[in-house]
Amino acid sequence: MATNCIRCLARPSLPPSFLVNASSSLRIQSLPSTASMGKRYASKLNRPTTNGPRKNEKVKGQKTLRIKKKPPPKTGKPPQPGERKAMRKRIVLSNTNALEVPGMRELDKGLVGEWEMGIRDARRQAEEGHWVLEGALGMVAKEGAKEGEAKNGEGVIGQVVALQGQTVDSLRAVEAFKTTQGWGFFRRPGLLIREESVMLSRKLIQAEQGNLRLVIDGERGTGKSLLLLHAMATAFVRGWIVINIPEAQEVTNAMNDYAPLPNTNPTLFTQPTYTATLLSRINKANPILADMEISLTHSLPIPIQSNISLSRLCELGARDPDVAWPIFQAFWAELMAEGMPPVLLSLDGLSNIMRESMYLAPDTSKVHAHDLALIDHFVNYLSGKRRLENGGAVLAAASRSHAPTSKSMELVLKQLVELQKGEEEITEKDPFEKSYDDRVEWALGVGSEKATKAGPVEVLKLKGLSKKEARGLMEYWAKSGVLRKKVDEKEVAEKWALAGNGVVAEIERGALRMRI
Amino acid sequence: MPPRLNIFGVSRSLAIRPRPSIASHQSRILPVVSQRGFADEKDPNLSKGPNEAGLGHVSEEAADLGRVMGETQPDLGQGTPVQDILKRDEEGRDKAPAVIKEEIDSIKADAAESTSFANLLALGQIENIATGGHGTDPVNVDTVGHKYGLPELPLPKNSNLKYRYDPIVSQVTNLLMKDGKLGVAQRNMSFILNHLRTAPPPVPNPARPLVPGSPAPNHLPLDPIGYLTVAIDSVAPLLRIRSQRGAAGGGAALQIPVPLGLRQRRRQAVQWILDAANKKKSRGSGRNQFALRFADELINVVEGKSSVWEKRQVVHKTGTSARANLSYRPGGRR
Amino acid sequence: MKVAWLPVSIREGLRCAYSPRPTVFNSPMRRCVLSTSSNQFSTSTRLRAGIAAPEIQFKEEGDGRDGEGKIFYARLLPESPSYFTAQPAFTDDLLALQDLVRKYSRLPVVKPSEAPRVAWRSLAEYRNMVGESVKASKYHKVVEVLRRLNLIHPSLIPHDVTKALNEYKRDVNPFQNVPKIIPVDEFGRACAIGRRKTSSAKVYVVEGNGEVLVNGKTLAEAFGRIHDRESAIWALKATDRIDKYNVFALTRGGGTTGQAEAVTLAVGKALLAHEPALKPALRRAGCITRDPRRVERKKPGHVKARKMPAWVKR
Repeated sequence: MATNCIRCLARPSLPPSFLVNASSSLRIQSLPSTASMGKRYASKLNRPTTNGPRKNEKVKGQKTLRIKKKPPPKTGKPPQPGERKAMRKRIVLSNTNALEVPGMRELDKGLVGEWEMGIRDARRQAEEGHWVLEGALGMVAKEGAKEGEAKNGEGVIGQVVALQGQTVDSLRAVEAFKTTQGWGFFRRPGLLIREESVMLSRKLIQAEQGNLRLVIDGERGTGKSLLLLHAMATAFVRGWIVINIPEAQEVTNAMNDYAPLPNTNPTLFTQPTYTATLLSRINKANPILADMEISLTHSLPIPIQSNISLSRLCELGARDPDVAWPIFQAFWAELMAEGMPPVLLSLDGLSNIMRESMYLAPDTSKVHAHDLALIDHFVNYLSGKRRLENGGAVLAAASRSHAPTSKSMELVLKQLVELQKGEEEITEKDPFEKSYDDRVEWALGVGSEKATKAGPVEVLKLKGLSKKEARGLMEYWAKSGVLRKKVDEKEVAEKWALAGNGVVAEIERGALRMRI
Repeated sequence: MPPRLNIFGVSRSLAIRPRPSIASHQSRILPVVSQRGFADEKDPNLSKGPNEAGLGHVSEEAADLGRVMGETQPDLGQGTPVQDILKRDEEGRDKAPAVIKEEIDSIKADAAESTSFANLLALGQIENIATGGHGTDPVNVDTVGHKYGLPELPLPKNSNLKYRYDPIVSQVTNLLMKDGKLGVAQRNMSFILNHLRTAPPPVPNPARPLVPGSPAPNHLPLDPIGYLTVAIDSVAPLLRIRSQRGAAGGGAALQIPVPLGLRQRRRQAVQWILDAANKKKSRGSGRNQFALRFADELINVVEGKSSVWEKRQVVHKTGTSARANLSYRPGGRR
Repeated sequence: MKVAWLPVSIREGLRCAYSPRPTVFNSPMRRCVLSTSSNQFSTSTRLRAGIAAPEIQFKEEGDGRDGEGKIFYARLLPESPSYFTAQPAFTDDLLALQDLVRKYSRLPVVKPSEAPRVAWRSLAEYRNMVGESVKASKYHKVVEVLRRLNLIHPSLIPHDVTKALNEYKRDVNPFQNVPKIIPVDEFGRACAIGRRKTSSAKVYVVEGNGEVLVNGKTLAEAFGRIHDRESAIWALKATDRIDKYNVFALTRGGGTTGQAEAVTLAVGKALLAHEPALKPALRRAGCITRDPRRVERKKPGHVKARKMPAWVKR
């Protein structure tokens, strides 16, 4: 058998002399009795390691085309932990190289006041019977634009207005600015006033006496997030309290800790850390909270003084995630109390909360996003189940980038837009579609039996800019020194057409980023 | 197998031959044709007698006659073309030879066909004046074939589909490209240019002077393409070193400086900058990191901090020391 | 001695000198003779006259009256006087044509630019036709004569000249292949087709305000790259007409670049239908040139079109 091993060229791990001796004197236990088996085992166990040229080994003098490329040696010290993420998330709001644009208006009380005047004029004239006041005030005011443009604040349509320093700080605190928006090109942050933004501002001003529930929808790059930002800026100028959820996916993608909320049916889940950071953002963004004192008594897990300010309350909640949710509820109760300013609740990325979240319930089923306490809170106001007592608005912007599809939401928004336009045929539900969600319909204020009295939400469908607005925007870029071209009819028409009929993000990409 | 039918063979075997070859007739033709030997003159002015020359031109004849008679002779140096005479002479024009008539007609037709726009405009203005108006009155140019006015030709250089980008931008973009992915390279390029215009203005190092005629450093960020051009042209080497093997004797290589063209110089500079950028370490994460490193390297170049400057210096020094080899010719001295 | 090399006058002299019988320089006749002998294995349509002369018909003793008018040569006469030249068929052709030129030299001619454009047979074709190795310079002489004949005023051109010219015309006249004129239909649309790589685009261009739809999508949705969007409407952009026309395009096949540039070509062609005077501008803008490049085919023995497998020792 040992001879077999030798014949099959498999080298035993023992030295040959020893093997020969062993085979003659004593049996090797490890080798099985049959020759064929022995062959196989031997070849398996005793791999030749040194004998003969190996398959992949380089023969002397052989030339191969495979040349190993050495990666270039890296120099410099590696980035600190967290530095890379900070760089990714960094938001630059100013470019000192850009030129200052002279004669820029600011989005201040005066400008918002002009829009308010516009509403009053429209209402007064409507009372006088000049025209019928319909749901959208902006539409009505458009007709009167010729006579009182400056008075109604319509003159700024198609112009870029600067944001006040205080507003910018607040907006930064609520994370309204995003990295993908080109804030870093200009000397100071500015906003293009579109027809829709004036309309929205007017609705917000009206909502101080009522409630506004609105969803902003539109194609990719049509300025949904920026319209939301405009609403927040208007709210800050008007002295509202703004609570913003900048990225709905952060709430639902199971990256934060969560805990079931006792005594709830169905079980709600709180997100202590996220709530704590939200409270700290609210505190930072709304400086007026410092002047407001607690007026109600709350039963909180931690003892608090009875006369602390709301700012201090938020601070307490932000400090300890365990009590963040009760404190948030207490804070909200304070906001709903008599004599408080209006509240703006806003959320970006609506489709993320109109589906099951990534969190798992104890029975390993997925938690619906509406079962998260924070989302539940938002949705209650969006659906109209609860009212903002001191007036205010609930705004949600749909998102088209990295957004999951929500069939129900798409359908409902489509139907609502068609209703607003007054079309004859309203899109029906697809009878073969299984992924419709009743809760989503309810959240948007439609649906069969659970529908609230408040009715469906309003939908603002954004489209591309008009050529006038596009021209105003491009003139601003040219004045800032970042667009090195003559802005004329031809140039505007070209960029407008290249951007797919004036999609604002595409105009920016075509004029500022890809073509310089 | 029957023998192949050969028609030629048949004719060859015939006793009757066709008529004798042409060669035999040559002698008969010879007198008819003038022949020229190799050494003869090309012109056939063979042995002319004193009066054999023909009469000169009409005016020459007149001049001769005038000289003989002692009268005023026509100036032979100044002739008047027939066409000019015909222009004055209405009657003569009708009676002129057909060839000349045709020529005059064709001139007119050509003028109408191939007149440029400016010419037409001028003609229109003249017409305006002729009708009693002013030269500045609007001219009705033919509007056939277009609806919104014709673009002015030649079109600007960048209006060709293939040359729409600035030359340096397209060259650098192509050099940045990997695996033929032009879209990615263009995105990188736009990131680079945007980074250049948002980064703080550079502080040039006086020891590393920029290319002459470059704008002030604080003006550079507003013109990112100019920034890029300044950075690349400043470090672009003027020459490269060609190693001629065996020319220095004993198999040693002779280093010969060779001047580079504009595109070649820029290419070399971009390659150096690319090498330097690849050696850097990314500070952040994401897909724009390479572009960021490249842009940082460009800023370093303008600020004189980049290692590319040393490479350029080495090449220039070698070129200076090897300038004696410029006279080398592969075939030796001639 | 080669006859063809001699000047015309000499040749005439020659002919007079040794050929009392009227010579017929007529290639069709020769062709007739040849068509009877069909057992030739050659690609040439016309062959050298195999028989040097027609069969000799000796005078029959019985009727001496019959052959009164005919001249009888004791020796065999070649059919063609160029029989002993190197290229008899070619020589015959050239002489026949030159004869025609001489005959009709007084007919009015048109300017060379106004003469009908004709593509003459190529040298290879001609060689194939006559079955002789004719030099290029020789054939050029024929072509020159043909050009001269072609200059004769088209309304007065004699029948035999037309016949002779037709012999030398290429079977397919490439100059008759003119592009179709694209009409603008009753809705004001001009429809054109463009191709690039493996893509093709059918485009309708209408007067409008600058809206572009590609496969029912806006330009921004159809093409992600700005570069491609620019390409698609480059014809309008280069002539400042973006806000003057609407474009409706249907593209298929290939990738985004191919589709975009196929749209370029189609828009350029359709725009020409609306405004023909834009042709020079569009030509310079590169919008009416079909880019003929395609993916190079893979070859056997290669890894890709050109890449060779790595060299391995043994």
